[in-house]
Amino acid sequence: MSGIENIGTLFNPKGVVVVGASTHPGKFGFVALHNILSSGFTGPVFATNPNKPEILGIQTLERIQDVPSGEADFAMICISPDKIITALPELAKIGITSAFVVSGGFKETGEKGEALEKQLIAKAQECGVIIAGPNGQGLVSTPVNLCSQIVSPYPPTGDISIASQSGNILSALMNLSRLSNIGIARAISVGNQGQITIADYLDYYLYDSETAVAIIYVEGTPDGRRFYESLKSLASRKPVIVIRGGATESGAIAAASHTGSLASDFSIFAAMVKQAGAFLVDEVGSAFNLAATFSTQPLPRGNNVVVMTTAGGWGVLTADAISSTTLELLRLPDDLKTSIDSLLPPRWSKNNPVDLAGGETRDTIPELLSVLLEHNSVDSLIFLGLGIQGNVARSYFESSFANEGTDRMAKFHESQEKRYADSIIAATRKYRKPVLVSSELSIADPSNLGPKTLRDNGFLCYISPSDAVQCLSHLVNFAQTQNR
Amino acid sequence: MSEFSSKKLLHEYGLSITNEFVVKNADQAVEAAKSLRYPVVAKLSSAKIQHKTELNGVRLGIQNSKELEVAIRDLETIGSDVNEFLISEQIQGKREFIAGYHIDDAFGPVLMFGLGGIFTEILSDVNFRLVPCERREIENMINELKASLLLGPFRGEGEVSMQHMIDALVSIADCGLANPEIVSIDVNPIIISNNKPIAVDALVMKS
Repeated sequence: MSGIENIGTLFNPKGVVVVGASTHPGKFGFVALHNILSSGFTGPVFATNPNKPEILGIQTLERIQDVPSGEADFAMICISPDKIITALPELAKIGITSAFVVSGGFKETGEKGEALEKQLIAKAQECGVIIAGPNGQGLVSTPVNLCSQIVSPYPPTGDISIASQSGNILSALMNLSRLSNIGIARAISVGNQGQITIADYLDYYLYDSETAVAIIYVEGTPDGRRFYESLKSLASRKPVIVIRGGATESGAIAAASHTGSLASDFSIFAAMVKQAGAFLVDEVGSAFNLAATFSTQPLPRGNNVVVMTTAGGWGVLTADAISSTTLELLRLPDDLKTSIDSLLPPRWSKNNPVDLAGGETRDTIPELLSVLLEHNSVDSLIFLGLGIQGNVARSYFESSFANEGTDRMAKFHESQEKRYADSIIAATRKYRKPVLVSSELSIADPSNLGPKTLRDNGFLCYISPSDAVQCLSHLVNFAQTQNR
Repeated sequence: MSEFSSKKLLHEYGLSITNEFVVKNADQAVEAAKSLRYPVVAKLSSAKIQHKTELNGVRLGIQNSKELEVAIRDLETIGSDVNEFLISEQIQGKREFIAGYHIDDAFGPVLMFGLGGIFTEILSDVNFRLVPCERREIENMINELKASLLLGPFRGEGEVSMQHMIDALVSIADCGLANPEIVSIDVNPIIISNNKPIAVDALVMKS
């Protein structure tokens, strides 16, 4: 492997120096220091500024050599590009082994910048410092409470790791992490990939015990074969979701060759991702939801799914969505039908989707969940209709007609919603089978106790059943490759 | 490389090709056709001529020696540098595919397979795999195509063996990988005849 060996120090530094800290809250050198301090980084934090001001309660140091040697091994570099090359030997001297270069003005600006970037990397190699970036937003590493970036947000802790060729896409994924409360382990804006490339981060995520799932955003892959090998190695052990920018860009066409004219960049890229065993997704939200699915659900043993619904139309659409995947809408075995009969009035659908048709009473939903998941022929379950009672509760609480009676009913509805969500979480854990819940109320009313309870416990509530079906189908496909 | 030598090379790696001969004139053509079965096909043959169809250099459905003589004389009128002809058996089949190999700038050696015939470009039902790769990956490449349905029983023709299809594609990849000077291989069309894939035309390009 031609990769970089010690990427681990980027994500697990013992101490951090912000080079070029600023007193101005609008400057990168301030934002970076602020984020590192406010995320509560576990090690010592130093900052340099030639005027030695106190910033955010930290006494800054005039020169890099004033930082006590051996206390910090990672530098967040926010100074102008021409100054970085002279700073590198000084950083190496105090024990820095890895650095993130935020500064722009390199390859992205043209020939002159490209030459400067080459000098930067050559100097870094000479000094034994590995360089992430340049021209990137920074990195996040929640296992050590590190938010070393010049933008927001800082996501909750989890096991999804990201490497992105776009800073904005990285932020978007972390915003979705905050929204859903499904956390991130490592996240890096790879910038110009002057030295460390996306393939190197993939290699690191393979051995990183904090990482269970990876998402990458790529626009171009100059060293495509190396990228493929790294992607394949990682995808054989952990699910990898790939978002590709520039899908419509037409490829270089090999003249006179038929094969060349049919082979666009994207068609080969798409086939390569499949061959590597990773998942190509064309949208950021779907990419996050798929990663969140892998992060939170157990792997199913097979492709037989049961849809359980208190909402008829959603059940029909879900069955339609299932029919265009490799999932199998389980034909209910007779013994399972008999068990359901004992829990529901005769008007239930007698079929899959299991439509309760309003026949549920106080304990029906938790009991039915157990009966379905306990059965050997059921590999996974999609649950629809969470939050409907909570929605009635909300309108009672907000009502100008509210009285003791409506309040009592609203509270009962709320407690039922919480019970449903709790029983879904408990059943997923007890039976080790995926249970995917879809309800638009997760965004329409984030305080609804059904979706909110799922969110508080780090479970995803999908907004549409077709999204849940897609995610479950990929979960089944990945499980099958793991069993091979 | 000429069509004839391209196919001969691919055949060395296991690809089934048409029975054919290179001849210099009509007499030799008639002689060669004796060991083939009519109808036969006559084409211009030269490493320099890559677009036979554009030059109107292909004669199909030649039924007997008389028609063959006429066809060769006709082809001779196309240009003064025309001095070789390819006489091959005419393969009958309703199902046409296209296969290829090229060195991609980013990903290196890539194998292609897809729907052939007149709809190739417009439907663009083609798929790729980086090679070398396992046979299972080549099977996936075939199965991911809409056109893979054509490998089942089709309009009176039988099912095509998946193993034969994989063998054909592996032989193209092997040929490319074993010869580093090869930059691309086009096999167009591959026609399914007696339920087996046969390369009817091919073009190997070297750097």
